[in-house]
Amino acid sequence: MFEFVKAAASHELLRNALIVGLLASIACGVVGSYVVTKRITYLAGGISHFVLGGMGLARYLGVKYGLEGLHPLHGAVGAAVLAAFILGHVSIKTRQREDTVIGALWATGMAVGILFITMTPGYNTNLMSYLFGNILMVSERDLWLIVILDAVIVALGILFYNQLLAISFDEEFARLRGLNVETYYLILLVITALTIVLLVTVVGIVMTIALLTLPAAVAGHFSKSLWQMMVMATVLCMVFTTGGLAASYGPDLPSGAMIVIIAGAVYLLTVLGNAVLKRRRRLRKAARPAGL
Amino acid sequence: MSKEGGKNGAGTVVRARDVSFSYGDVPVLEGVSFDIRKGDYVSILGPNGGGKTTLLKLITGLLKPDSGALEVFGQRPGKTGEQIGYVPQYFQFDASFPVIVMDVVLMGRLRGGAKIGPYGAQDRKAAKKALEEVGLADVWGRPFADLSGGQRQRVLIARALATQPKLLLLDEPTANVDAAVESTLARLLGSLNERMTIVMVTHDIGFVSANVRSVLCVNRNVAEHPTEDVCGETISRLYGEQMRMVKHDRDTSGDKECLNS
Repeated sequence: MFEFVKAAASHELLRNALIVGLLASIACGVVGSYVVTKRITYLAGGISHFVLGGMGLARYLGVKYGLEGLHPLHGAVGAAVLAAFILGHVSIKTRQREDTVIGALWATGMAVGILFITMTPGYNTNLMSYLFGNILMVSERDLWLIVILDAVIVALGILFYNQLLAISFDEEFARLRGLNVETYYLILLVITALTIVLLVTVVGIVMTIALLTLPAAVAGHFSKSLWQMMVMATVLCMVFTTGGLAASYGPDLPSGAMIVIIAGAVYLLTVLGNAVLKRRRRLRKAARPAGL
Repeated sequence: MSKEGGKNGAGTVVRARDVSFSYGDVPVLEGVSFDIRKGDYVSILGPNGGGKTTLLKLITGLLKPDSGALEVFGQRPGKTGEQIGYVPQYFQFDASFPVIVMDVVLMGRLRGGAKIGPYGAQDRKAAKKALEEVGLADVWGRPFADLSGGQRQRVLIARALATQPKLLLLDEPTANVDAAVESTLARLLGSLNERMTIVMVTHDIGFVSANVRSVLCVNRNVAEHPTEDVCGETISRLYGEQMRMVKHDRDTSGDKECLNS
């Protein structure tokens, strides 16, 4: 552990990785809470896999045509927002087919990504780092994009808290109050998409959904209100990413996998602990003599 | 069913003329006409699938009629959300949603437009007053999910009251609550009726005869009755065979029919 702290102080890449983890955690806590309470986890899964298409395309164009400024992360942002708009439109216009469309985006996005990555001249080691993340690869330039995305996500998520809470809790009532439910739903999907881009840099496409939902799901067990859930999910996400980085750094294990395993273990313990507590409470109630 | 008279005068809150609605090919309401006047306390009565909730949603503007004319406060429904307090059934909500009572009631203070940031002091005051009115001021900080069914129903009424409506619409307020809660609700609605028009969907014929002034019987068509007439023949015409079952179940826990409407 001491070694990790020393390394973080001296290695710029590790320091960047830690900062990215902490920044992404704020978006993750705020947006993850919306995703869990609004029950759009599967939709978020669709967006995150669709992102590979954008990353592959951006990398292909960047290498093939020597576009220095074009980075896979830019492709990820574009693809995520595109997916959010497509899914938002589908869900507003034709509710009943939403899951089919999600599945279609999920798979075709990945197919497009794999195709472009294979066609890209030169080394193709990037596929693995897109899929499973490589937070230690984040450059100074990426860091700035991540800061901007994070600020946009958190600002929108907090400024429209009342409206987003209302459409998550009771969409019909919100509509009756004169809220433009479709617009707020689109805002929610866009900030979900941008959060997914941040998390892709931390844990990769395949494991994004775990980091988006597990901290919020754990926090949900202990929270009375949505904003408490957000604060607690943010703290948990920070603990998971930092802990995962620290645990993987020494033995040189994949950091993304380590982060998700820690998150999964804490989630499992929470669910089990909750079940045991409930059972015990019930037994105690049953053991009490009637009339008390 | 008028208190103030005047056919299309200022006293008319809801005016329906030949309104029809269908879900796809399935007709739900056909050629429905009725008036609801200011200060009325109306119950919408009818069998499952008869179109009660649909009628309520047409009045809110959440659904649009296929044909016919429907006016609420002299305007098209949907333009008048500010004046309507809507109380849906409480058990349609996610039981584990992390939200406290105060935050639910504050949703009644939402407005259209691009208002950002927290609720103002005025909104909190109105929400607190609404909670006091339904007798739940002391549970404002409790999670909504921890409350009993009757309390949740009253929180949803408070949320509707927080908008300071002139017309209160309730969907099955007595479904799934016990007799004690039912009489609390009856008293509450009775006192609210002194300052607002109330329209309530219900299965509960006992609740109707005790409180309501007039009845809209909905089964594809609508028939208007003053409350005194809602007995024997009217009801068996509306429900047919079903009536015996509904009445039979009333005081038992077997009132499950009400859950599915």
